Amino acid sequence: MQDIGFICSGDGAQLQCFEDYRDYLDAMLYLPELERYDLTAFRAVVVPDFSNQDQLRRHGPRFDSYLRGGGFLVVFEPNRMDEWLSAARVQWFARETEDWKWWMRPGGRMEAYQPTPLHSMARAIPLADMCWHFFGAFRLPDGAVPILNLDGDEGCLMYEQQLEGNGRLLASTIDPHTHHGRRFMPATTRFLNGFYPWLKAEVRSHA
Amino acid sequence: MPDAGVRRYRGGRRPHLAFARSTREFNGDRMGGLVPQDWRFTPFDLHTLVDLPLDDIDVLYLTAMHDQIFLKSIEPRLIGYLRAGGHFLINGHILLPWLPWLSRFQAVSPRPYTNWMVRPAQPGGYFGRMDFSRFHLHEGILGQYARGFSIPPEGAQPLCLIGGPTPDGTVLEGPVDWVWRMPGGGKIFMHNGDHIEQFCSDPRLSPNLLHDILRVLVESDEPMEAPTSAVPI
Repeated sequence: MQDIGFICSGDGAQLQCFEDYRDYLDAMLYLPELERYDLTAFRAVVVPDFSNQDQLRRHGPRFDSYLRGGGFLVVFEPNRMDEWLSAARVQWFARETEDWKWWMRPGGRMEAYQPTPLHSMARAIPLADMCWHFFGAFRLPDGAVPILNLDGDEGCLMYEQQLEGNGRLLASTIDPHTHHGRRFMPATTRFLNGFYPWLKAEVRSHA
Repeated sequence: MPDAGVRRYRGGRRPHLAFARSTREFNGDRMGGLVPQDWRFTPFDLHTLVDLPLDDIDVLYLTAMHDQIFLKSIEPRLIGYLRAGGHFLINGHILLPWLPWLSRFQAVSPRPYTNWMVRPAQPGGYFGRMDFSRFHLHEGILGQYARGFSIPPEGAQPLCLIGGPTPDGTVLEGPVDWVWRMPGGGKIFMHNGDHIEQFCSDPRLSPNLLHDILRVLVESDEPMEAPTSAVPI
Protein backbone atom coordinates (compact mmCIF):
# COMPACT_ATOMS: atom_id res chain seq x y z
CA MET A 1 0.00 0.00 0.00
CA GLN A 2 1.20 3.49 -0.83
CA ASP A 3 0.91 6.57 1.34
CA ILE A 4 -0.35 9.56 -0.66
CA GLY A 5 -2.01 9.88 -4.07
CA PHE A 6 -2.21 13.38 -5.57
CA ILE A 7 -5.17 14.15 -7.80
CA CYS A 8 -4.11 16.35 -10.74
CA SER A 9 -6.28 18.15 -13.26
CA GLY A 10 -3.30 18.95 -15.48
CA ASP A 11 -3.08 22.60 -14.44
CA GLY A 12 0.42 24.11 -14.28
CA ALA A 13 0.20 24.97 -10.58
CA GLN A 14 -0.79 21.41 -9.68
CA LEU A 15 1.99 19.97 -11.84
CA GLN A 16 4.42 22.30 -10.07
CA CYS A 17 3.23 21.21 -6.63
CA PHE A 18 3.56 17.55 -7.54
CA GLU A 19 7.19 18.18 -8.52
CA ASP A 20 7.93 20.26 -5.43
CA TYR A 21 6.50 17.74 -2.95
CA ARG A 22 7.47 14.62 -4.85
CA ASP A 23 9.33 13.29 -1.81
CA TYR A 24 6.01 12.96 0.01
CA LEU A 25 3.74 12.00 -2.88
CA ASP A 26 3.66 8.46 -4.20
CA ALA A 27 1.68 9.00 -7.39
CA MET A 28 -0.04 11.55 -9.55
CA LEU A 29 -3.63 10.51 -10.30
CA TYR A 30 -4.78 12.29 -13.47
CA LEU A 31 -8.34 13.27 -12.72
CA PRO A 32 -9.91 12.89 -16.20
CA GLU A 33 -8.69 9.28 -16.21
CA LEU A 34 -9.39 8.46 -12.58
CA GLU A 35 -11.02 5.15 -13.52
CA ARG A 36 -7.51 3.88 -14.34
CA TYR A 37 -6.45 4.00 -10.69
CA ASP A 38 -7.29 2.00 -7.60
CA LEU A 39 -7.76 4.63 -4.91
CA THR A 40 -7.78 2.00 -2.20
CA ALA A 41 -4.06 1.51 -2.89
CA PHE A 42 -3.43 4.84 -1.13
CA ARG A 43 -3.67 5.60 2.57
CA ALA A 44 -4.53 9.21 1.73
CA VAL A 45 -5.76 10.95 -1.42
CA VAL A 46 -5.37 14.71 -1.84
CA VAL A 47 -7.67 16.76 -4.06
CA PRO A 48 -5.89 20.11 -4.47
CA ASP A 49 -7.67 23.43 -4.67
CA PHE A 50 -9.01 24.56 -8.05
CA SER A 51 -9.43 21.08 -9.45
CA ASN A 52 -11.68 20.46 -12.43
CA GLN A 53 -15.15 20.50 -10.92
CA ASP A 54 -16.82 18.82 -13.90
CA GLN A 55 -14.42 15.91 -13.55
CA LEU A 56 -14.88 15.78 -9.78
CA ARG A 57 -18.64 15.49 -10.27
CA ARG A 58 -18.13 12.74 -12.84
CA HIS A 59 -15.93 10.78 -10.45
CA GLY A 60 -17.81 11.60 -7.24
CA PRO A 61 -18.85 7.97 -6.66
CA ARG A 62 -15.21 6.86 -6.71
CA PHE A 63 -14.38 9.28 -3.90
CA ASP A 64 -17.48 8.14 -2.00
CA SER A 65 -16.44 4.54 -2.33
CA TYR A 66 -12.91 5.38 -1.19
CA LEU A 67 -14.16 7.16 1.93
CA ARG A 68 -16.69 4.45 2.77
CA GLY A 69 -13.92 1.89 2.46
CA GLY A 70 -11.86 3.61 5.13
CA GLY A 71 -9.77 5.97 3.03
CA PHE A 72 -8.41 9.35 4.13
CA LEU A 73 -9.64 12.01 1.69
CA VAL A 74 -8.24 15.54 1.80
CA VAL A 75 -10.13 18.15 -0.23
CA PHE A 76 -9.24 21.79 -0.66
CA GLU A 77 -11.81 24.23 -1.98
CA PRO A 78 -13.06 25.88 -4.07
CA ASN A 79 -13.99 22.46 -5.40
CA ARG A 80 -17.56 22.49 -4.06
CA MET A 81 -17.30 19.01 -2.58
CA ASP A 82 -20.80 19.57 -1.19
CA GLU A 83 -21.99 19.04 -4.78
CA TRP A 84 -20.22 15.74 -5.55
CA LEU A 85 -19.38 14.02 -2.29
CA SER A 86 -22.12 11.87 -0.74
CA ALA A 87 -20.21 9.74 1.74
CA ALA A 88 -20.03 12.71 4.10
CA ARG A 89 -22.45 15.56 4.56
CA VAL A 90 -20.54 18.74 3.77
CA GLN A 91 -22.23 22.07 4.35
CA TRP A 92 -20.29 24.78 2.55
CA PHE A 93 -21.47 28.36 2.45
CA ALA A 94 -20.27 31.50 0.68
CA ARG A 95 -18.19 33.82 2.80
CA GLU A 96 -15.61 36.22 1.40
CA THR A 97 -12.43 37.15 3.18
CA GLU A 98 -13.16 40.39 4.97
CA ASP A 99 -10.14 42.17 3.55
CA TRP A 100 -7.98 40.16 1.16
CA LYS A 101 -5.28 42.82 1.47
CA TRP A 102 -5.10 42.52 5.27
CA TRP A 103 -1.41 41.65 5.01
CA MET A 104 -0.69 45.13 3.65
CA ARG A 105 -2.11 46.83 6.75
CA PRO A 106 0.07 47.45 9.82
CA GLY A 107 -1.00 44.88 12.41
CA GLY A 108 -3.41 43.30 9.92
CA ARG A 109 -4.70 39.76 10.37
CA MET A 110 -7.08 37.36 8.65
CA GLU A 111 -10.20 36.81 10.72
CA ALA A 112 -9.39 33.23 11.82
CA TYR A 113 -7.89 31.28 14.74
CA GLN A 114 -6.87 27.74 15.63
CA PRO A 115 -9.33 26.28 18.21
CA THR A 116 -7.93 24.48 21.25
CA PRO A 117 -7.10 21.78 21.93
CA LEU A 118 -5.08 22.10 18.78
CA HIS A 119 -5.56 19.50 16.07
CA SER A 120 -2.28 17.72 15.29
CA MET A 121 -2.04 19.65 12.01
CA ALA A 122 -2.38 22.94 13.87
CA ARG A 123 0.46 21.82 16.14
CA ALA A 124 2.57 21.28 13.02
CA ILE A 125 1.57 24.44 11.14
CA PRO A 126 1.33 27.80 12.92
CA LEU A 127 -1.65 30.09 12.39
CA ALA A 128 0.43 32.55 10.38
CA ASP A 129 1.07 29.84 7.79
CA MET A 130 -2.64 29.11 7.40
CA CYS A 131 -3.67 32.68 6.70
CA TRP A 132 -3.86 34.41 3.31
CA HIS A 133 -7.50 34.21 2.15
CA PHE A 134 -10.21 31.56 1.80
CA PHE A 135 -13.08 30.48 -0.42
CA GLY A 136 -16.19 30.18 1.70
CA ALA A 137 -16.56 28.32 4.98
CA PHE A 138 -18.20 25.18 6.38
CA ARG A 139 -20.72 24.47 9.07
CA LEU A 140 -18.84 22.16 11.41
CA PRO A 141 -20.34 18.63 11.26
CA ASP A 142 -21.22 16.88 14.49
CA GLY A 143 -18.18 15.14 15.88
CA ALA A 144 -15.72 16.84 13.54
CA VAL A 145 -12.55 18.43 14.91
CA PRO A 146 -11.96 22.04 13.84
CA ILE A 147 -8.47 22.98 12.71
CA LEU A 148 -9.05 26.58 11.62
CA ASN A 149 -12.14 28.61 12.50
CA LEU A 150 -13.45 32.01 11.61
CA ASP A 151 -13.45 34.47 14.49
CA GLY A 152 -16.48 34.08 16.71
CA ASP A 153 -16.98 30.56 15.33
CA GLU A 154 -18.89 32.06 12.45
CA GLY A 155 -17.83 29.07 10.38
CA CYS A 156 -15.00 26.62 9.95
CA LEU A 157 -12.24 26.91 7.34
CA MET A 158 -10.64 23.53 7.97
CA TYR A 159 -11.76 20.43 9.86
CA GLU A 160 -11.29 16.70 10.13
CA GLN A 161 -14.20 14.30 10.37
CA GLN A 162 -14.11 10.62 11.26
CA LEU A 163 -16.69 8.63 9.31
CA GLU A 164 -18.31 5.27 9.72
CA GLY A 165 -16.05 2.54 8.38
CA ASN A 166 -12.90 4.37 9.53
CA GLY A 167 -12.98 6.85 6.66
CA ARG A 168 -11.52 10.28 7.35
CA LEU A 169 -12.34 13.54 5.59
CA LEU A 170 -10.15 16.59 5.89
CA ALA A 171 -11.92 19.60 4.40
CA SER A 172 -10.36 23.01 3.75
CA THR A 173 -11.44 26.27 2.15
CA ILE A 174 -7.92 27.68 1.91
CA ASP A 175 -6.13 27.23 -1.41
CA PRO A 176 -2.38 26.67 -0.94
CA HIS A 177 -1.57 24.68 -4.10
CA THR A 178 -2.74 27.31 -6.57
CA HIS A 179 -0.64 30.04 -5.03
CA HIS A 180 2.44 28.00 -4.21
CA GLY A 181 2.34 26.51 -7.70
CA ARG A 182 2.15 29.96 -9.18
CA ARG A 183 4.95 31.26 -7.03
CA PHE A 184 2.78 33.83 -5.32
CA MET A 185 2.15 34.26 -1.58
CA PRO A 186 4.94 32.78 0.58
CA ALA A 187 2.51 31.76 3.35
CA THR A 188 1.07 29.13 1.01
CA THR A 189 4.52 27.63 0.54
CA ARG A 190 5.09 27.57 4.28
CA PHE A 191 1.71 25.86 4.69
CA LEU A 192 2.56 23.10 2.22
CA ASN A 193 6.04 22.73 3.71
CA GLY A 194 4.27 21.83 6.94
CA PHE A 195 1.28 20.03 5.49
CA TYR A 196 2.89 17.27 3.45
CA PRO A 197 5.34 16.15 6.17
CA TRP A 198 2.42 16.17 8.62
CA LEU A 199 0.21 14.14 6.28
CA LYS A 200 2.98 11.66 5.54
CA ALA A 201 3.64 11.13 9.25
CA GLU A 202 -0.09 10.93 9.97
CA VAL A 203 -0.80 8.16 7.46
CA ARG A 204 2.34 6.31 8.52
CA SER A 205 1.26 6.40 12.15
CA HIS A 206 -2.00 4.70 11.15
CA ALA A 207 -0.36 2.21 8.80
CA MET B 1 -15.40 47.53 -44.83
CA PRO B 2 -15.06 44.21 -46.58
CA ASP B 3 -17.56 43.31 -49.23
CA ALA B 4 -20.50 41.30 -48.02
CA GLY B 5 -19.77 37.62 -48.34
CA VAL B 6 -16.00 38.06 -48.48
CA ARG B 7 -14.24 35.66 -46.16
CA ARG B 8 -11.42 37.52 -44.47
CA TYR B 9 -10.82 35.32 -41.51
CA ARG B 10 -10.80 31.62 -40.75
CA GLY B 11 -14.04 32.34 -38.93
CA GLY B 12 -15.62 34.01 -41.98
CA ARG B 13 -16.39 37.69 -42.26
CA ARG B 14 -15.36 38.32 -38.68
CA PRO B 15 -12.71 36.76 -36.47
CA HIS B 16 -13.65 33.87 -34.24
CA LEU B 17 -12.28 33.35 -30.72
CA ALA B 18 -12.79 29.94 -29.14
CA PHE B 19 -12.46 30.05 -25.34
CA ALA B 20 -11.37 26.77 -23.82
CA ARG B 21 -12.99 26.15 -20.47
CA SER B 22 -10.62 24.01 -18.47
CA THR B 23 -9.72 23.21 -14.87
CA ARG B 24 -11.30 26.45 -13.87
CA GLU B 25 -11.54 29.66 -15.82
CA PHE B 26 -11.28 32.74 -13.67
CA ASN B 27 -13.40 34.86 -15.99
CA GLY B 28 -15.51 32.11 -17.49
CA ASP B 29 -18.75 34.01 -17.17
CA ARG B 30 -17.15 37.32 -18.08
CA MET B 31 -15.29 36.49 -21.29
CA GLY B 32 -18.32 37.04 -23.49
CA GLY B 33 -18.22 40.66 -22.39
CA LEU B 34 -14.46 41.06 -22.75
CA VAL B 35 -13.97 39.73 -26.27
CA PRO B 36 -14.83 42.45 -28.84
CA GLN B 37 -18.50 42.34 -29.65
CA ASP B 38 -17.83 42.30 -33.39
CA TRP B 39 -15.99 38.96 -33.02
CA ARG B 40 -17.57 35.54 -32.90
CA PHE B 41 -17.14 34.05 -29.44
CA THR B 42 -17.47 30.36 -28.63
CA PRO B 43 -16.81 28.91 -25.18
CA PHE B 44 -16.21 25.17 -25.14
CA ASP B 45 -14.86 22.41 -22.88
CA LEU B 46 -11.13 22.02 -23.45
CA HIS B 47 -11.39 18.25 -23.52
CA THR B 48 -13.61 18.35 -26.62
CA LEU B 49 -10.53 19.57 -28.54
CA VAL B 50 -9.82 15.94 -29.25
CA ASP B 51 -12.20 16.14 -32.22
CA LEU B 52 -13.57 19.69 -32.26
CA PRO B 53 -13.44 21.21 -35.78
CA LEU B 54 -10.73 23.88 -35.75
CA ASP B 55 -10.98 25.16 -39.31
CA ASP B 56 -13.09 28.22 -38.49
CA ILE B 57 -11.21 29.31 -35.35
CA ASP B 58 -8.90 32.32 -35.54
CA VAL B 59 -7.78 32.46 -31.90
CA LEU B 60 -7.74 29.52 -29.53
CA TYR B 61 -7.75 31.00 -26.02
CA LEU B 62 -6.24 28.94 -23.19
CA THR B 63 -6.81 30.05 -19.61
CA ALA B 64 -4.07 30.03 -16.98
CA MET B 65 -5.55 26.78 -15.63
CA HIS B 66 -5.51 24.73 -18.80
CA ASP B 67 -5.00 20.96 -18.70
CA GLN B 68 -1.46 20.50 -20.01
CA ILE B 69 -1.52 16.72 -19.81
CA PHE B 70 -4.50 16.59 -22.14
CA LEU B 71 -3.08 19.15 -24.59
CA LYS B 72 0.19 17.23 -24.76
CA SER B 73 -1.81 14.14 -25.71
CA ILE B 74 -3.21 15.91 -28.81
CA GLU B 75 -0.05 17.82 -29.76
CA PRO B 76 -0.04 16.82 -33.47
CA ARG B 77 -3.58 18.14 -33.87
CA LEU B 78 -2.62 21.46 -32.29
CA ILE B 79 0.48 21.75 -34.50
CA GLY B 80 -1.79 21.19 -37.49
CA TYR B 81 -4.02 24.05 -36.35
CA LEU B 82 -1.02 26.36 -36.11
CA ARG B 83 0.34 25.26 -39.49
CA ALA B 84 -3.01 26.03 -41.05
CA GLY B 85 -2.90 29.62 -39.80
CA GLY B 86 -4.73 29.41 -36.48
CA HIS B 87 -3.43 31.47 -33.56
CA PHE B 88 -2.98 30.58 -29.90
CA LEU B 89 -3.35 32.93 -26.95
CA ILE B 90 -1.93 31.01 -23.99
CA ASN B 91 -2.01 32.04 -20.33
CA GLY B 92 -0.29 30.32 -17.45
CA HIS B 93 2.80 28.53 -16.27
CA ILE B 94 3.92 25.85 -18.68
CA LEU B 95 5.26 22.81 -16.84
CA LEU B 96 4.65 20.31 -19.60
CA PRO B 97 5.41 21.99 -22.95
CA TRP B 98 2.56 20.78 -25.15
CA LEU B 99 3.83 22.42 -28.33
CA PRO B 100 7.42 22.17 -29.58
CA TRP B 101 7.79 25.95 -29.29
CA LEU B 102 6.80 26.24 -25.64
CA SER B 103 9.23 25.90 -22.76
CA ARG B 104 9.00 25.53 -19.01
CA PHE B 105 8.11 28.45 -16.80
CA GLN B 106 10.96 30.02 -14.84
CA ALA B 107 10.22 32.08 -11.74
CA VAL B 108 12.24 35.22 -11.15
CA SER B 109 13.46 36.23 -7.70
CA PRO B 110 10.61 37.92 -5.79
CA ARG B 111 13.19 40.03 -3.97
CA PRO B 112 13.59 42.87 -4.61
CA TYR B 113 9.88 43.22 -5.28
CA THR B 114 10.65 45.54 -8.19
CA ASN B 115 11.67 42.40 -10.09
CA TRP B 116 7.94 41.91 -10.66
CA MET B 117 7.62 45.28 -12.42
CA VAL B 118 6.76 44.55 -16.04
CA ARG B 119 8.87 46.50 -18.49
CA PRO B 120 8.59 46.94 -22.24
CA ALA B 121 10.87 44.92 -24.49
CA GLN B 122 9.47 45.23 -28.01
CA PRO B 123 5.82 45.83 -27.15
CA GLY B 124 4.77 46.57 -30.72
CA GLY B 125 1.05 46.86 -31.37
CA TYR B 126 0.27 44.31 -28.67
CA PHE B 127 1.33 46.40 -25.66
CA GLY B 128 2.32 49.66 -27.38
CA ARG B 129 -0.59 51.63 -25.95
CA MET B 130 -0.15 50.43 -22.36
CA ASP B 131 1.09 52.55 -19.48
CA PHE B 132 3.80 50.27 -18.13
CA SER B 133 3.79 51.97 -14.74
CA ARG B 134 0.36 50.53 -13.96
CA PHE B 135 -1.39 48.36 -16.55
CA HIS B 136 -0.19 45.15 -14.85
CA LEU B 137 -1.17 46.09 -11.28
CA HIS B 138 -4.22 44.50 -9.68
CA GLU B 139 -5.79 46.88 -7.18
CA GLY B 140 -2.31 48.30 -6.78
CA ILE B 141 -0.73 44.89 -6.12
CA LEU B 142 2.46 43.99 -7.94
CA GLY B 143 2.99 40.38 -8.99
CA GLN B 144 -0.54 39.28 -9.69
CA TYR B 145 0.14 39.70 -13.40
CA ALA B 146 3.12 37.36 -13.46
CA ARG B 147 6.14 36.09 -11.52
CA GLY B 148 8.32 34.78 -14.28
CA PHE B 149 8.87 34.01 -17.92
CA SER B 150 9.64 31.27 -20.43
CA ILE B 151 12.31 31.12 -23.09
CA PRO B 152 10.64 31.77 -26.46
CA PRO B 153 11.55 29.96 -29.67
CA GLU B 154 13.96 31.33 -32.24
CA GLY B 155 12.51 34.27 -34.09
CA ALA B 156 10.03 35.28 -31.38
CA GLN B 157 9.35 38.89 -30.48
CA PRO B 158 9.83 39.54 -26.74
CA LEU B 159 7.05 41.93 -25.78
CA CYS B 160 7.46 42.56 -22.04
CA LEU B 161 10.22 41.77 -19.54
CA ILE B 162 10.18 40.68 -15.91
CA GLY B 163 12.91 39.86 -13.39
CA GLY B 164 16.18 41.32 -12.15
CA PRO B 165 18.82 40.67 -9.51
CA THR B 166 18.79 37.43 -7.52
CA PRO B 167 20.15 36.85 -3.99
CA ASP B 168 23.37 35.35 -5.38
CA GLY B 169 24.12 38.53 -7.31
CA THR B 170 23.27 37.23 -10.74
CA VAL B 171 20.48 38.66 -12.87
CA LEU B 172 17.55 36.57 -14.00
CA GLU B 173 15.11 38.24 -16.32
CA GLY B 174 13.21 37.21 -19.39
CA PRO B 175 10.13 37.78 -21.53
CA VAL B 176 6.94 37.46 -19.50
CA ASP B 177 5.01 38.00 -22.74
CA TRP B 178 6.21 36.97 -26.17
CA VAL B 179 4.77 36.23 -29.58
CA TRP B 180 6.06 33.95 -32.30
CA ARG B 181 4.89 33.39 -35.85
CA MET B 182 5.30 30.10 -37.62
CA PRO B 183 6.57 30.42 -41.20
CA GLY B 184 3.47 30.18 -43.34
CA GLY B 185 1.33 29.54 -40.28
CA GLY B 186 -0.28 31.14 -37.25
CA LYS B 187 1.08 32.82 -34.14
CA ILE B 188 1.61 31.82 -30.54
CA PHE B 189 1.03 34.58 -28.00
CA MET B 190 2.40 33.41 -24.65
CA HIS B 191 1.56 35.16 -21.37
CA ASN B 192 3.55 33.49 -18.59
CA GLY B 193 1.28 34.52 -15.78
CA ASP B 194 -2.27 34.78 -14.58
CA HIS B 195 -5.28 35.56 -16.74
CA ILE B 196 -4.23 38.45 -18.96
CA GLU B 197 -7.83 39.51 -19.54
CA GLN B 198 -7.87 40.56 -15.89
CA PHE B 199 -5.60 43.49 -16.69
CA CYS B 200 -6.64 46.71 -18.42
CA SER B 201 -9.20 44.74 -20.44
CA ASP B 202 -12.58 45.89 -19.19
CA PRO B 203 -14.47 46.92 -22.34
CA ARG B 204 -15.05 50.37 -20.84
CA LEU B 205 -11.30 51.00 -20.83
CA SER B 206 -9.43 52.53 -23.69
CA PRO B 207 -6.81 51.62 -24.62
CA ASN B 208 -7.83 48.04 -23.97
CA LEU B 209 -5.16 45.37 -23.62
CA LEU B 210 -7.17 42.32 -24.66
CA HIS B 211 -8.67 44.13 -27.65
CA ASP B 212 -5.26 45.33 -28.76
CA ILE B 213 -3.72 41.87 -28.47
CA LEU B 214 -6.54 40.21 -30.38
CA ARG B 215 -6.60 42.83 -33.10
CA VAL B 216 -2.86 42.66 -33.70
CA LEU B 217 -2.90 38.86 -33.59
CA VAL B 218 -5.38 38.56 -36.46
CA GLU B 219 -4.84 41.80 -38.39
CA SER B 220 -1.10 42.36 -38.49
CA ASP B 221 2.05 40.72 -39.76
CA GLU B 222 3.70 41.37 -36.41
CA PRO B 223 5.96 39.62 -35.55
CA MET B 224 7.92 38.72 -38.64
CA GLU B 225 7.80 35.08 -39.56
CA ALA B 226 10.30 32.96 -37.69
CA PRO B 227 13.11 31.47 -39.76
CA THR B 228 12.27 28.09 -41.19
CA SER B 229 15.00 26.62 -38.99
CA ALA B 230 12.71 27.34 -36.05
CA VAL B 231 10.27 24.72 -37.27
CA PRO B 232 11.99 21.42 -36.60
CA ILE B 233 9.07 19.24 -37.51
